Amino acid sequence: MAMYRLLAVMGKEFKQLLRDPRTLAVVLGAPLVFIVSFGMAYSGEIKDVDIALANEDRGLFSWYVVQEISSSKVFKISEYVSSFTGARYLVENGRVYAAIIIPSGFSKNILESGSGVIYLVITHSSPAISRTIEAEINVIIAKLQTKLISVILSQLSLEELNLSGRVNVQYGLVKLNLNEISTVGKEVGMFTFYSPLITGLTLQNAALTLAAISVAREKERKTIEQLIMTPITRFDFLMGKFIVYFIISMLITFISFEVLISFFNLALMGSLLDIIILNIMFCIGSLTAGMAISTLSKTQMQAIEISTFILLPSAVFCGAIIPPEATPEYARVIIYATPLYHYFDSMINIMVKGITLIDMPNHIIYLICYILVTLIFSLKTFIKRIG
Amino acid sequence: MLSPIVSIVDLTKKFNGLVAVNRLNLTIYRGEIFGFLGPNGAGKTTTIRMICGLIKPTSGSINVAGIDVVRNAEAVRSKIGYMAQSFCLYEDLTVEENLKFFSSIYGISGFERRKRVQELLELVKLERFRNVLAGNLSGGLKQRLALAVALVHSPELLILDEPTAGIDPPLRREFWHFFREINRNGVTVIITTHYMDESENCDRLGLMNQGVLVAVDTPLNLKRKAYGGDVVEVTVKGSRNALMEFQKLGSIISVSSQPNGLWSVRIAVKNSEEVLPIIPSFTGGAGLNLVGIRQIQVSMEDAFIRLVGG
Repeated sequence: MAMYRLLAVMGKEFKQLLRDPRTLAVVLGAPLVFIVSFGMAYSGEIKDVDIALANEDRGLFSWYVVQEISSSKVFKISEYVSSFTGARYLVENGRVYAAIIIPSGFSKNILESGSGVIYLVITHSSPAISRTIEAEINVIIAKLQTKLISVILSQLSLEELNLSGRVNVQYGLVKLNLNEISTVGKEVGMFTFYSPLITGLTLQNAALTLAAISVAREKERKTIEQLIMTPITRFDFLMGKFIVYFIISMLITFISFEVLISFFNLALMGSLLDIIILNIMFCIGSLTAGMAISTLSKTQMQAIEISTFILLPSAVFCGAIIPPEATPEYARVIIYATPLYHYFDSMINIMVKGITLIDMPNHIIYLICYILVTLIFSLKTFIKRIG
Repeated sequence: MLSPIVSIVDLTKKFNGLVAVNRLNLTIYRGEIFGFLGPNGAGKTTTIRMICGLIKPTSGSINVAGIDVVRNAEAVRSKIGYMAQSFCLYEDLTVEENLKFFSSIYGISGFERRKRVQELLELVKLERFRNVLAGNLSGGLKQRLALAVALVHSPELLILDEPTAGIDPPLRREFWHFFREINRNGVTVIITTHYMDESENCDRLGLMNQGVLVAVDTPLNLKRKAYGGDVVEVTVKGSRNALMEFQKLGSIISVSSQPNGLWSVRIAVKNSEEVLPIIPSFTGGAGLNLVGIRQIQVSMEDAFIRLVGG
C-alpha cells in the first residue's frame, strides 16, 4: 500500500462520481424519494386515536370535559375506566396511546378556586401520534376554559361571584392545568418500527450499488487494462474506491436520518454511539459485498442485475415485514442469513428496547463475518492479470 | 555492443488446448524499434501481453531488463510503458487529469509531476486540449493521449499494441514521427501491427502466423529472404525457349508476355548489384534483344505471403 496511490485513486473516484449525474441521481435521489414517500404515508391526518378516559370526579364540570373529549375527531374513547391506576395500566400495556383522567374534586376546585387539573398519561412510542394528542388536548382545554366560565355564570350571578371572590372573572376565564405523565408503552409506533428498515435499505442500496458499479465500470470501459500495467496494488485500487464510497454512503445515511427526524418527527432513542457504530458496520459490509459483486461482473449492467437480485429479497427477508417468529423453519434460515435483518433487529433493540450493542453478540459477530467474507472474496477474485 | 532488453526462450501459451503462441524464441535489443507483423489472431497481442506480465505463459521464460517476468510480473511494470489496443483511459477525466492520475500512481508528485505532464503534452502536441475531457477527443487525439500516459514514468521499453489500428494513413505517418522521436531518446519500442506498409518503419520485424514466429530480420533482409535475394525484371524480345537461359542468373519467378512480342521475366537473384551489370551481355549471348531492366521493389506484403505461405 502506498498513500500517494491511495490518494490518487480517491481523487479520481470523487471526480468521476461528480461528473456522472446518472449514478449520483440513482444513489442520492432514490433514497430521498423513498424516505419522503414513506414519511408521507405514515404522517397523514391522525384520527380516532384510541384513548382511555377515567372520570374520578363525576361532578357537574367533569361532564363538560367528557363531552368535549368525545366530540373530538382525533380521539376515540375506547375504554372508560373508573380510576387513575386503571387508566395508566391500559397505556402501559399498549391498549391505548393515552389516557385522560379527571381527578376527584375537579368540579369542587373549579367552583372554589376557579382552577382545575386534568391528567394526561401518554406514551411516546409513536412521536407523531403523541404530538397530535398533546396538541388536541391543549385545544380542548382552551375551549373548556371559556366554556366553563359561561356554565358558572349561568348558575350564579356576577355579583355573587365577585363577592365570594372564588372565581377570577376579571379575565372571564377558568384556569385549567394539564398535568402530563409520560410512560413507556409496550407497543412501538409504526413509524419508529419501520424507520430502521428505511435507513437500512437506503444505506444498503447506496453502498452496494456504488461499490458494485465501480470495478465493473473499469472493466467495461477497459480502463483497468491501463491500470493493470502500473505498479498499483489490489489494495490501493480497491481501498481508494472504498474510502470514497464509504464517505458518500455515510453522508446519505446521515441525510436519511436527518430527514426522518426533522420532517417526520422520528425520535432517536437509545445510545447514539451504538446507532453510529451499527450504521458504520453495516455500511462497510454493504460496500465490501458490492465490491465482491463488482469483481465478479464484467459490465455495469451485470453488476446492477446481481445487486438487484440481492437488494430485493433482502427487503422481504429483513424481519421487518415478516418477523422471523412468524415464519417456517426454512424461511427463518434465509432471514438469519440476510445482513439487513441483523441491522434492522439491532436498530430496533437499540432504539426501542434500550439494549446496547454489547448485549447482542450474535448480530455483531454476523456483521463482522459479513465484512470479512465479502472483503476476502473480492480481494481473491480481483486478480491483476487478464488471463 | 548490442545489449538485449527482452529475451524470450521457448515461450508457449495455450488457451483451453488452443495454441496461441508456439515455442517462440526471440531477443530484442536496446534502442531498436521491433515490430511484430502478422494477421489478426497470429498471436502478436498474446506475446506482448506475456512480455508485460499480463498473461502467464504455459511454458517458457521471458526476461525483460534483467527481470524474470514469469516470476516477478509486478517488478517489470515500472520498466514498461504500455499502450493497449483500445482506448483505456478515463473518458470522464480531462487530458491533464488522466496524465496527473497516472503520474501519481507511479509516485511522481509536485513540481516533478507538473514538469513531466508539460513535457508529455508538448511531445504529443496536446497542450491545446489539456482541459478537454478525454471522452470528447477524436480518435487520433485519444491515441496521442494514450501514448503520453504510457510514457509518464519514463520507461525503458515502450510496448504498443496495434497503436495505429483504425487510424487513417496521414495520422499513421504522424504517429510514426512520434515513435521515432521517442526512440531517439533511447527508448526501445516494441510494436504490433497488421499493416504491412508501416511495418517497414521498424528496425527489425518478427513475422508471426498462427502462433509461430516465422522469421525475424530487418525489413530489407526479410524481403530478400522471401525470394532468396533481389528481384530483377528483364524485358526482352525473342523466342520463348531462349528465356529459359535466365535460370543461369537465378530462379525465374514469373514470365509474362507483353504486346509486340515482348517478354517480361522476373528473376530472383542473390545480389542485384552483381547481376545487373552483366545482363546486357547475357541477353546478347542468349540471342535475345534487351528492351529494359529494372529492379523490383518487393512489397512487404508479397514477402510476408511468400515467407508465411511458402
